[in-house]
Amino acid sequence: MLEKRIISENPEGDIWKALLRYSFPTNIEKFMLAKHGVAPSKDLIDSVSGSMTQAEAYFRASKMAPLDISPLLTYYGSINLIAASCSLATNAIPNVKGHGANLTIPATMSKLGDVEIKPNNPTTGGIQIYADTFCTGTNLCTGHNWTLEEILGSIPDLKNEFENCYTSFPFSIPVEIVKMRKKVFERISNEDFSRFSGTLNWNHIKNFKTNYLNPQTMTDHILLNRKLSFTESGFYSISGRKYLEIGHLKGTSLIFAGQVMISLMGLYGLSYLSRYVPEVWTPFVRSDDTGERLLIERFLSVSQRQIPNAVLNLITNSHNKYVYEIDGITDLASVYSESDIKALVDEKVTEVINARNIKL
Amino acid sequence: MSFKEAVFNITKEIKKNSIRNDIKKSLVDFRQTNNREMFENFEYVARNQRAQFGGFLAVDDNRHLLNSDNNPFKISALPTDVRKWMEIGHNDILHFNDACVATLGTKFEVCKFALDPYKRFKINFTKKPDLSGLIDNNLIVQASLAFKESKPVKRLLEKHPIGLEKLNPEQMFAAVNFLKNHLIAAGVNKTPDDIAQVIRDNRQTPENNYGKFLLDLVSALSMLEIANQLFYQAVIHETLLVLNEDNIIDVGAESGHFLGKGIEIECQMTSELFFDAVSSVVLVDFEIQNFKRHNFCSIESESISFSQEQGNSAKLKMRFLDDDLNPYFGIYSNSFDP
Repeated sequence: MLEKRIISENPEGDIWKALLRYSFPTNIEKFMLAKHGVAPSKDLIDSVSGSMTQAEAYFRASKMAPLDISPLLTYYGSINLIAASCSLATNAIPNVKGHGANLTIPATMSKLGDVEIKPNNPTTGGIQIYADTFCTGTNLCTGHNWTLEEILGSIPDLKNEFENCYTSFPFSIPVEIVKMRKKVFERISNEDFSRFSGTLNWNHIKNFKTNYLNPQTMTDHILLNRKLSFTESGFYSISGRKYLEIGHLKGTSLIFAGQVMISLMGLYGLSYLSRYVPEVWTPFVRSDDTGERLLIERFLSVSQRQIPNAVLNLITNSHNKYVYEIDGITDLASVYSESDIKALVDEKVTEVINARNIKL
Repeated sequence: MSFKEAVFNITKEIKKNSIRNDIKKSLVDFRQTNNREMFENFEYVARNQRAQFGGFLAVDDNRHLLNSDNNPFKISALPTDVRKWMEIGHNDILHFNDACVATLGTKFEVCKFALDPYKRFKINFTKKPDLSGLIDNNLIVQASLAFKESKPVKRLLEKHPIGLEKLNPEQMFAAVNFLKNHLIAAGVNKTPDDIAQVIRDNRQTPENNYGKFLLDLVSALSMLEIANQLFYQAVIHETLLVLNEDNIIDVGAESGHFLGKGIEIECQMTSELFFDAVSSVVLVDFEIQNFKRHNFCSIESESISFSQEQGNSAKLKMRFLDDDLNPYFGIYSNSFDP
């Protein structure tokens, strides 16, 4: 996917300006003709247009709403937005007859993160249908539960809040990209790696074997050299730092759901709680004393920022980076150390001496 | 059958040979009892001679030179049982070399030192009348015939200078080694200007003819050295080292020139690369954006980097080998026959 760096002081505002272009029938028709070569039906145009404007309205409302209802608004905004983008991508209105998941509150629940979400409708359930566009080939309806805790642990921008709240392993690892003159490699700090207590299975990282040589353990970090056949498969935080995605083992399947679908499942869970289980949700909102509420608020804020950006990426088929500054990349490509320069000079002098048969 | 095929037939048989397991075991046991610092480590010093089994014998026979009063690192003697196995390996390699050189005929007796990969080492060992059993004699015969049919040897037989028998063997040895060092000093990506001149110039002058003759000898010597190295590797390694996408970090310059082709590759460190890289034969097998390489190469130089910031890696400079196992095959691609 082509990467576009867009410097912006108001990323969310600029993203919505770009998205709302697709609420206009003329633009929808133009897009469909260019992408699919056929004019869309009126129903399709109205569906996309309506979904886009509703999505924007829901997102706007969710920002001003209290935590009691903001998950519900964010969730509805997200599914409207995702439905519109799926229509644009497939030239068809998604055949969705329900959310396609259910929520379970375990008897032994001790924290909000214990609630379990299970996608259960592979044919007309919204979650699986949207997954077919956003992470093609991924089956979320394996019959297994996803805890809210593991969902939150899969979102890079929640790393600090997640680690402050829970002791379990996250499902993403931040890497530092180091660019040299002739190669690029990646590093994982020991601090981030130690969270896994030495139990990380490298094969559970998406495309690890096809992308990286064997990890090298250094004093301060784990070093990952890229293979010649490397193709980008990590995901990125809002600030631009790359994270490696760790798969979720469901039965015998290792599932890589991607940020959008993971976030959507998390939003489904929270919206279900706020709408249908107020006896759990209300006490949590009013009197959480563990700090988990901060994590949930941050999750909503990140979803409001990330999901529209991901949808825009899908529509435009480019990676739109709306950032003011990018961190996590150390570019040494144009930096020459003393030893680099000495090596270059030595190489050149030797070449000249040998070529001219100079006797020293 | 090419010389390469014949040599690899021998390596396949070596791998099935029980003597191979005995030699390997003796080295493994020796390594465990000889766990000393690098410069006192017998194996490290022996492998750095680039002389295969002969390297162990050379170090053992010349320890007195290494263990001088000024040198704080002392190398102890090679245990008798280990020495026995090194002699077995070295004996059969000497038989192989002699069989190949013998195909040139008595006229080339004067080149016996120039074509001896171990002439420059002082090794107290004389080849035994019979093979020790590591290498099969029938396969040696096949390989020697293939050696005779190789491009360098065919040219030697057809184009050698008149009056060859009158040349001095020691001087021939010195000239060939000097030329070989000259080619190596230029690096894998370049032909020295004076040598390129010789290769390009088709005039039948004495200088050109002798120059080309020496290049043929260097090629033939290199083929034997590489064959010897492959036999040694067949004993000490389980598989041929392959440089592929599982260990290559970066592919640097690849060049074609009058002598042949060279390539520079940076790869992640392995124990084989740390101990045995220079003069090792490896298989380079990678594909970048539809550009494929699947070639045997001889490592000519290695630069190892241990860096906390950038990790551990080895930068290897290598020459491609052709079907004659000749790293200087470029000489025969440029026709210098009218």
